[in-house]
Amino acid sequence: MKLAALSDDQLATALAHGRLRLRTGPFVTQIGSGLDEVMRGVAALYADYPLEDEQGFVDFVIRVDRPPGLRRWIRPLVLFSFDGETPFTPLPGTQGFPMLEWGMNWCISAKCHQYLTLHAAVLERGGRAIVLPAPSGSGKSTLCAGLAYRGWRLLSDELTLIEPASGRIVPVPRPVSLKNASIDVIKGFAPEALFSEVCRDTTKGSVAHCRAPGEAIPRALEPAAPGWVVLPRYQAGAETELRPLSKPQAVMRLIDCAFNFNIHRHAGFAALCQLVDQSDCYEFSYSRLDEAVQLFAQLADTAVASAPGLVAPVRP
Amino acid sequence: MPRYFPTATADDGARLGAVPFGGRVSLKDWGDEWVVFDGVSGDCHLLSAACGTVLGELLEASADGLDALQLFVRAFGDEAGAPSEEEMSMLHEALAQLQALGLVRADA
Repeated sequence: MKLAALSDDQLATALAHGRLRLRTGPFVTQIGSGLDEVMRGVAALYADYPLEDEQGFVDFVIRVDRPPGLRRWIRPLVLFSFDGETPFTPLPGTQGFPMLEWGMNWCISAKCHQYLTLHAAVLERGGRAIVLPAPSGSGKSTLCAGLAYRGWRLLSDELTLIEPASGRIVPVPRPVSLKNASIDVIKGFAPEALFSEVCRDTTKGSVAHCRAPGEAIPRALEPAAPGWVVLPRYQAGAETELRPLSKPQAVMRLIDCAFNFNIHRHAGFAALCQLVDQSDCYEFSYSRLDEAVQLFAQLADTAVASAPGLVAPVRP
Repeated sequence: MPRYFPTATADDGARLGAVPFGGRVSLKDWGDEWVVFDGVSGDCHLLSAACGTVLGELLEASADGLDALQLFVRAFGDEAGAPSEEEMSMLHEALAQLQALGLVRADA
């Protein structure tokens, strides 16, 4: 059963009682919240996600609520809890839905060590995954949303999950988190995109989430083989340019963005070496999203992708 | 003449590419550049081909370690003849870099 099958009342009741069991890729999260803005965000952005019944296994039990006491009423706050613990300081009261999203990311990056987890967006096209590791502010999520709305299957905008034994990349498609100017960029680029309410004055500025499009949710249990590692960098006025990156450099950059390399150690090293061996590796700079998306379509659709030395620099 | 030893071992027989790696060090060779994961420190390092080759030879050598001449012969082959001053200088530079990274130690 999909979440969209619930009426507003049923959804509100399931959330209030902490009984909403949502499947996102390999994970089942049991979500609770009495906040209207959380309910609106979940209803809008998770409508097509499957729900699990009450007998099945749950990976995470989380809640987003007002804290007890006067903070419910005076300059209200929101509090994220995981298995009854509160790992984060509370946020201002309007940030309930972003906090749910950030909390769900934290559950995976902090708890799920069956995967080597990278801070990287990942999408798939033609059976090959493109991994986009980058720090915050690099234009990773904007590029990810742009690609997801132009035929690439979104596996995740934030977390690349690698099975160490097989090297496969496991999808965990969820809404794409966009910040500040990126929100309007994607609204203009993909007018059909469905957004959450914009949440202003977060520590990251204005934040909105857009729904995972296309095949992302129906194919959420279908892993992908690595194809490309691309380190994106948005820079105002920059030309659209793809430059080959050596495989050893790519390994080092991937290790830098791994959440749990210290746990996987040698197995993680082997998995990243394998991923890079199977991938064409690049650095990428851009300022115009439409050109960037066109370039990546070229990369996916032509055999040039298998000869990285021939494509430096490439401009659409 | 000092003998050189890897500070980590390649002892579990697992293999990555053509280079043995073990419970304590993993080494991956891409020709011009190598990457090593040092399980002792938990650090990863980019290595030049010279450093990677030297470390690989030390990992494959016996527990007695190797002196610089033995390393030269293993790295360049018997047919290389006597090493030139420049070649020995390059070898010592690679050893110094590996020692600075904590991947190799000398016994004297």
